[in-house]
Amino acid sequence: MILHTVNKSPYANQCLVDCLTTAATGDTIILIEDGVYGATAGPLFDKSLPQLSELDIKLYVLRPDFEARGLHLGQSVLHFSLVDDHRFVELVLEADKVLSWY
Amino acid sequence: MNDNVTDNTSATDGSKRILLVCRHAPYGTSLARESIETALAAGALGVDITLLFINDGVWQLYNHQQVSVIAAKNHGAMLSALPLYGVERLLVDEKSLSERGIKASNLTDIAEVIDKDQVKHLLANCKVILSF
Repeated sequence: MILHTVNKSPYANQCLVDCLTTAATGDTIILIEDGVYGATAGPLFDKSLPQLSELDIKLYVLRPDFEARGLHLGQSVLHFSLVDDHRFVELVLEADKVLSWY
Repeated sequence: MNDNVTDNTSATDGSKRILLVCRHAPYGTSLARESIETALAAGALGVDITLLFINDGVWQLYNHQQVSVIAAKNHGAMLSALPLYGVERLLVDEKSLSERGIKASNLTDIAEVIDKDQVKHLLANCKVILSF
C-alpha cells in the first residue's frame, strides 16, 4: 500500500489530479497543508468518483491544517476522515511506501 | 527508443529498487537537478535505481534544450550522462507525453516509454520511492 500525500490546493495546482490518476487499489491518500482544500473540491472529485470508489482508496485530511483554514467536512461530496498528527504518523508507518505530490 | 518497450517485466519489475519519481520541469526549481544528484550518488554506490519521468517531469527529457541563454547547465545532457554512472533505467510516462503533445521522437533517446499500467506496476513493486 502506498500512502500518497498531497500538499497543494487543487485550485492552483495539478498535483491532486495527478495523484488521483496514479493511485491504485488499496492505496491511501492524505491531504495536508494547502492540500486540505481538496476536501472542498466537489466538482473536481466528482469526475474521479467512479474511479475512486472502484479502486477502494481511503481518503484522509489532516485535521489541524483543515481546521486552521476554517473548513468543514460538510462541504465535501466524498468521505474524508479527519486525522490528527499522531494518526498521520501511524499511517506513514503502516504504508509500504510514501509518495509525496507537491 | 520504442524497440525495447516490448519486454514490460524487465522495465517495471522493481523489487528492491529505489524509484525516483520526477514530476517537475527543469530550471524552474532545483528539483530536477537534485534528482540527478541523487541518481549519481546512488549509481556511485551501486544501488539499483530507476527514474520515472511523469507529469511535467517529462520536459526534462525534451530535446534541444538551449540553456546557454539562461546561464544554466543543460539538464537533458546531464540526464544523457547517467548511463555512464550506472543509472540505466530511465522510464517516461506515455500519458504525460500525449497530454503535452510531445512525441517520443522529441525526447533524448535514453528513456523508455511505458504506459499507465506499467507505471502503476512500477510504483507498486519498487522498494523505496523518492519524489522530486
